[in-house]
Amino acid sequence: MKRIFSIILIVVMCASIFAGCNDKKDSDKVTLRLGLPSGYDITAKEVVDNFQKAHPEIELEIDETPWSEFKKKVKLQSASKTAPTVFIMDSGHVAYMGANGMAVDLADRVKSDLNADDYSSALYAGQDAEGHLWGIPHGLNTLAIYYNEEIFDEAGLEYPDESWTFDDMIKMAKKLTKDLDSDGEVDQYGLMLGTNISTGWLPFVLAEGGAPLDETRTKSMFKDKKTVSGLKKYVDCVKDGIAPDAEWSAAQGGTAAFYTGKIGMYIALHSMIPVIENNAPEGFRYNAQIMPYGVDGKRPCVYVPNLWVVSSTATEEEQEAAWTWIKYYMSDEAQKIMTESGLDGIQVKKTAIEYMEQMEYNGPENLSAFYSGLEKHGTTIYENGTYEEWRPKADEIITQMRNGLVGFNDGIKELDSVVSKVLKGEY
Amino acid sequence: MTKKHQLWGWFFIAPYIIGFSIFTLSSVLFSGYLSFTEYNLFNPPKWVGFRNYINVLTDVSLWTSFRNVFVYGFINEFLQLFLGCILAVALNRKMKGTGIFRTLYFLPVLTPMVAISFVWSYIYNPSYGVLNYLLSFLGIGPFKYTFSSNWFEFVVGVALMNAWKGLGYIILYVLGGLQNISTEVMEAAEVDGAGPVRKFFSITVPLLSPTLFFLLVIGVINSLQVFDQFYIMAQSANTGANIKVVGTLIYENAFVYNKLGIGSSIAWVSFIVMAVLTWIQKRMEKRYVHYA
Repeated sequence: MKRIFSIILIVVMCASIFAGCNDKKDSDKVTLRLGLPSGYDITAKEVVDNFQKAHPEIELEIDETPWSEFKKKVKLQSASKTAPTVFIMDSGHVAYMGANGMAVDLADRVKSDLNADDYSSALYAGQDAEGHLWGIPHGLNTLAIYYNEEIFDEAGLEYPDESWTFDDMIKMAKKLTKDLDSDGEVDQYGLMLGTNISTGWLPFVLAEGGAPLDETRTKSMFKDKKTVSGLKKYVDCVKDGIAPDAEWSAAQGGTAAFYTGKIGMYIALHSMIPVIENNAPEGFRYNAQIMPYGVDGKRPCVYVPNLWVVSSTATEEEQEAAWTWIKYYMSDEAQKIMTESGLDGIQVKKTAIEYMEQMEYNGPENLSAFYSGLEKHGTTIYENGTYEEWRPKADEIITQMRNGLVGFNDGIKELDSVVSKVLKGEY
Repeated sequence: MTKKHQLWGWFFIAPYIIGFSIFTLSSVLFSGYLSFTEYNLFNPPKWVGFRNYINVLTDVSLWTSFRNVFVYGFINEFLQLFLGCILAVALNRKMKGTGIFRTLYFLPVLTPMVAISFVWSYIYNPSYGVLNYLLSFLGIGPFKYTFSSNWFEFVVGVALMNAWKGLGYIILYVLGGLQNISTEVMEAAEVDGAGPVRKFFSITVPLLSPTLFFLLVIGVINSLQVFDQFYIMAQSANTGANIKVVGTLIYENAFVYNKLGIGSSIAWVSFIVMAVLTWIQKRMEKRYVHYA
């Protein structure tokens, strides 16, 4: 019995070894590992399937992880030189990856293979101050102002139009701020501001003609007069009571406060559309308007891009396959599919934007608020190699200024000192 | 003990020693090396001597974090040990339903901290949280709890939540300690005319002191290592308050800013503080702890 059992065991072991030998990949094919955070919730499956059909010489391997874990995973994979060949990453981390030699510079490939005139200027969203292009947009999360039509109607105010300015917005916010039950406390705020860079303080700074960093993105501009003026306006919105403080916002939940009718205008990104659509009570009437003009006729049309990045640890052959994928993604076909799917915001190809103007969409009527300013006024969030450190530190100090935990002038000094230290590589 | 016995002893503990050496000791020693380097995972470590320690010790954020940890630890330990003793004495009595109560008190210990932190963030929400709703019936509040921009309110809020979660663990140990107290000693005290309060302070507490000492040492170390609850509840309440603790500071530097050298040096500073506190406690042990 023992002998029979041993023979069976040896046969099974040998069979599994030979089975392993048969599991060889087709040596003619290049394997392209595609890193997709949240899988097909961000990138339409149709795009992936169509690419596979059009390029049988490339074998796609999908490396899928939830968004929250994806960055950590890719970071560790990059450190151990096992990162996916091409993957999606937020622009802040892409700048860091580029600065640390983990991403391939795509500037030359774009120059030779893509016609820049076919795309919005956001094609270069992944470009650093030295001209390296560390990523190509997967999608842009653009900023606009959502407004509650009912609250405007009740206040007898005209809805904002495209010609509005930041001062108009603040005047409107004052009129929309109300103590509805006369208990001495505001129940309805005119404006909801984020506590972070994109939906919070950066639009105010840009509207005043300021900037957090200089053009080389190596020097703090937080002491610059225009930047200080923008931050003052941002902080004053809370101080003057037309925007809720961070405590109120945290307790109410930003978007929830908007769709439950406690906020007149809400500065928020395109990605909030599905949140509002899925949670707002039936009959909730809202729309969106393009960011208002600041001083010197510039609108702070901020956008947060997700980018396709090619890993520097990939072989030449794999990098070529990765570029084939990116070129396909930037084609009319893929851009149209992505636009239709509504996944990951606005696409950068002009034909996709034209298509967006015609298609039916579940969201605010004026969807163009999210893309019409992109070409002329679009700006990213000042990513650089240390963005992931200076940005949260700046957010924290500005939130403290906003909540009155730090005096304005002291806050500016601290802000400039902390950001300068990070930019210089000091702790 | 013969040499053969000793060898068998080593053989049996070898799996643990090997695992500990590979996965824990080597990491601890490596972090010690990293604390003297500039390292970001992607490029080789660069030796910088004591620069990381100087930067960390001269930065206000480390001291703010220690302040938060000490306040949190003090409130948490006080509540857990004080309430734990009282409830354990109550549950040590022979009466109906003690088993159910013991289970109920122990249930939060079994629940993951992450889940509890999320649930308590909802409970604490000043607008729709159940705590303010209940307090409103008594005419108290509303309070902002962890949604406050005041660091102290936040830290107290987290400490209260943690005291509730860990109470069952303390009760379990104290109950064990109580059951080791000889009934003869108690009976002798009763014969001498000692009432329940006198018995508690003059007999129960001194005889429980080894258990309480053990819980205090472990509690202080756990408090210094606190991370999950602060990390999660701080995200719920992004109010700008200075609410970082040493654990979140290490995480932030090492894994968000990719400064593993700085993160390691904070970890070693924290370890040294823990070692000093434990040494002080050990010194006090001789004076306050009574081994029967």
